[in-house]
Amino acid sequence: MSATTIDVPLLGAKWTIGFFGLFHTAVASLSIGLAAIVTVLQIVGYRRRDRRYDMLARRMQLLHVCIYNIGTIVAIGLIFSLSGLYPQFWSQLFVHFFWTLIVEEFIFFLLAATLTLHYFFWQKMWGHKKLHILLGALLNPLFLLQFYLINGIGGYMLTPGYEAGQADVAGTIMGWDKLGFYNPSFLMLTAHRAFANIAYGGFSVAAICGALHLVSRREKVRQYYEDGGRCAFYTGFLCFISLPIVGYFYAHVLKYDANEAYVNLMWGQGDVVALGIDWWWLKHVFVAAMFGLSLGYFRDSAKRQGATFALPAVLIWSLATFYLMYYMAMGMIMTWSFFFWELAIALASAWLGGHLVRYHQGSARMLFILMGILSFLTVMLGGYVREAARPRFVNRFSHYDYVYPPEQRQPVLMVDKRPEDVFTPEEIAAAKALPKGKLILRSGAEQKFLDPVALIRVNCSGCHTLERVKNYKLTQHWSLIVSQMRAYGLKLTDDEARQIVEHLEAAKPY
Amino acid sequence: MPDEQPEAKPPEPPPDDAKLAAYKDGVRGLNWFVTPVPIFKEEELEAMFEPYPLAKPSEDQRWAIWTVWIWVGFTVFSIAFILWLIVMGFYYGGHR
Amino acid sequence: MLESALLRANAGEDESVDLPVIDPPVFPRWIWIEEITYSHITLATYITACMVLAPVFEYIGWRRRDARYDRLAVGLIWFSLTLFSPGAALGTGIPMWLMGTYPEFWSRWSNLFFWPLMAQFVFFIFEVIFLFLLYYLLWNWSVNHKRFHILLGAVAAFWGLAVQVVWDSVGGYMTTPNVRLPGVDEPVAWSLKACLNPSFPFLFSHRFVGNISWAMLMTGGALALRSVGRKPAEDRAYYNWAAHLCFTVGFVAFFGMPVIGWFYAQVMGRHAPVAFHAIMGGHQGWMFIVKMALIALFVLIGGAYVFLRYQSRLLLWGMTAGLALLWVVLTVHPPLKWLGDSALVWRAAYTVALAAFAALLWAIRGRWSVETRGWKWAMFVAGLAAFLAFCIGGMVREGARQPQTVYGQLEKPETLPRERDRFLLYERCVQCHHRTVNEFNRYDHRRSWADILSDKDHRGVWKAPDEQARLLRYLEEYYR
Repeated sequence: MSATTIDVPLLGAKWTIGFFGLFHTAVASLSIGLAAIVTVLQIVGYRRRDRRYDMLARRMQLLHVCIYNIGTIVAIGLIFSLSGLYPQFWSQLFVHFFWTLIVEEFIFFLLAATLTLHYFFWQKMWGHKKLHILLGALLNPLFLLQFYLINGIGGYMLTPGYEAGQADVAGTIMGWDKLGFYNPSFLMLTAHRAFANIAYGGFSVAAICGALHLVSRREKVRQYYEDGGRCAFYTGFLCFISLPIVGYFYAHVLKYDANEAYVNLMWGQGDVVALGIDWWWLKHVFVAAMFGLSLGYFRDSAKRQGATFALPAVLIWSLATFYLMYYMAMGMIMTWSFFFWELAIALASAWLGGHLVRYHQGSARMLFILMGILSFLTVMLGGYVREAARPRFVNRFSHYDYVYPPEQRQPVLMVDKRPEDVFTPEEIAAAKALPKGKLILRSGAEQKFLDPVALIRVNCSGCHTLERVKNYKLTQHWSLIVSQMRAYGLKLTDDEARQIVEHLEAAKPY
Repeated sequence: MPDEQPEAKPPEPPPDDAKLAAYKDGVRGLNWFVTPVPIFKEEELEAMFEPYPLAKPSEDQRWAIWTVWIWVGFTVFSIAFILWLIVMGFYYGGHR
Repeated sequence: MLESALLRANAGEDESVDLPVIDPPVFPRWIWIEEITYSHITLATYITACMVLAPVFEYIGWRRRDARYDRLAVGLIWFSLTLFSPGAALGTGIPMWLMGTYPEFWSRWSNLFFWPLMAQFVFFIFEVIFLFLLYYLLWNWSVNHKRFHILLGAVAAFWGLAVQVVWDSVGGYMTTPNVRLPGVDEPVAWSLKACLNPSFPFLFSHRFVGNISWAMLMTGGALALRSVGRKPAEDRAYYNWAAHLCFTVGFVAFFGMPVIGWFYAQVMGRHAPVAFHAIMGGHQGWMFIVKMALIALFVLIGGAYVFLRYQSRLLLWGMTAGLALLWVVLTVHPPLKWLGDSALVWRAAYTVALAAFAALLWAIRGRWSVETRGWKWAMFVAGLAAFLAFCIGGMVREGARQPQTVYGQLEKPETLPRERDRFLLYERCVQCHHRTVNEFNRYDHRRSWADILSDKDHRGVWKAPDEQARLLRYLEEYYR
């Protein structure tokens, strides 16, 4: 409708941003993970007086130094392309979060200098080894702080949350939107990503060790890569195992504060499904594979060491059980197809994991490589599906339309246009109308559904899947069924129950 | 007539260049000031596995240690400052 | 007419600029921008100079079979790598600050240069890949593949210079814009004409040569001090040799600067006359003179150094030719009135000074040693002076353009009426019949400014009704 934006040939604006975002994530997430792994390796080396761990830490820190600059440059490419391709969005976001970004930028500088000193002074500080380890360890709180800040902004894009934090720049301090920053999902996003990055870093280091093990000939050098890789793998695994739990609570937040995105993820809608593939489902297949591989590895490891059971394996089993319980009991959505696919992949991967270790004479090198590849893919897919799940920008003028309806954008509008100049009357009316089919919920207890489709989807999938509803044969008795459900514990007002029954009796789609 | 031309002689090996050899040795053994670029042959790598080369504190270059201490101090102060900003930001900003 | 359009815009009559401008605490926004920009530029220019010179030194070492050159090259690269990450991090801070504190400038300027900014991202990626992953990491491996390794270094330097080309192009536009700055809702995205703006080639060459000059002078000075420390004799000898090489390279490179600078000033005079006059006798004149004084200092030290240390006739006569070149530049320049009004006195004075200096240099040739501690400190002082002269150059250019962010097209949000009036004065009065702003100081004050401005000679100069009043106010305040 408006030609006030730059067009990128072939890729298009969305995928230009997507390319920069994914490229940056691949590198920056790895940076965060590497910082943690390097610290662990250095401490292990120091405690055991084993130089091999220190040498591996140094080589990984060299990798870190190289990719850090690539990450920096891609970040600035991302910012330039956002400001050029989504100018309205970017300028509004910038006004809300200017100081957040400036402080984050300062931390970025601290990180760069600390990382540089840590790597380039490695050989100069053998008389002050603890100081050197402290210098490297400082990267971790710095990364965490930076992460905390950037995820406030990232979370805001998905769950702008509390109404007060929206579209209002007349706050106390220009450039800082407290309520926008402390949006519903920022904490879960931070936690999920923090653990995921360390897992990604650990698995990547293990994969590199696996690859180097493959090309090495000397026994001691192979053992060096095996031991270093195992250390990194264990560190990564510890964080990995927490991800489903954190992820569950993240999804829980999305359910109530970004319901359309939640629905897109869980039911495979919107851009989450592209080229015929449900990428959210695919990500979970990879995650299941990773758990299965880990299970196979730990069981095989335990057998080789003559241990009666493997604690990590027990952890995996427990996690899977608890997760399933929570998942079903707390009303998350999962089709049976999804569930069985995950189970099958996990079991097959468990067998594969054990087989890989046995085939390579007790070395986990191929398993490490496979885990590294899978963790990279899950990181990429995680970022993609989160962005894809969010409803599309409308004409690149806003994110999550509800937050910036046209008439509220005026305070920060740089363009000398009013909504009447830009949108047709129908578009303005549609923007002002109550969102239909958009399951926008207010947070907390007031969950007002405006659409029977939404009512059915959310309420009927709390205890069982929608397929059960769709396959139900006795379709003359919907009111009885709904009453039964209410007796079983489903919370519905009379009005909501009436809407659901009417919709089901009319055999309308949902 | 076939094959009237004499057979091509194999190329002569290049003359030994002692200066080149000395140059390469000097370059290869670079270890002053610069952290050596860590691409090693496996034998060299293995030789570095032991011992864990802790040194006496006095053996480290003072300027390097001073630089690190100053930087660590600045960074810790910056972290504290940023945490304070975050706390302040929690109380101020947004009038609702 | 442009100036009055800007007036209206700032008076709020044009509502297309209503994006809130964020005011940072403690310092005004221009100081924040300046601080972060200068932190970045110092590191970036040093790295670029090292990237250009390292493969050259490596090649020379390879041809001469002298490992010291290789050690110097890898030392320069190593040091550049330590600076790279913080420099890049600071570089990301510049657009962040600009977007928040100068939002209209950013959105309009990046509208015009979207594709060049994307291009510089690609160049930067290649620079990092070639510098870190190939040139640095493969150094030891490349002992038997030296030519290939030098090629890698040259390619890395090429990408680094490509990044500089983009930034000098988009930066040069701010001083000599040759296309209209688009509005916030006009996504031009790319303009070859704007990229090839008049001052771009001169800004790029001035910075290219200047980077090498200041970086090597500063490095030479620092290595000179390092060579006097308590070290193994071998190290001392190496640092001494490296200091002399770097210092000489930096000093010789300097002599390209006045020539390029001359043509740069010409272009500015033609396309950004107000900025030109601000530097040449206007409100930035004092800063420019300080810069010249710093240059004079390191030319004095460097000249004496060259004549004391080197015997090569080529170098010494080349240096003399350089001084002659300085004489030419001063002669083509309009006479300064520092020694009174007579142009002859001025011309005679600098001719005598330069000739005496040249004679002195030839007289002291090879007479004393430059290996003393005092001379090491002198080299360091010269390096420091070169570094400060480099810093001041940027400040001069940016300050001369004030209060406009893009010359003649966009004003900064916090423009004061005084600054606007000053711009008007330079624009209306200086070029017409005055050669420099300083002439207002020497004006015949028997007539009042009001009389002068309202006489028949000045009819037709005013393009808006209030211009005469504003000029009168400014002249009476600052030129009485």
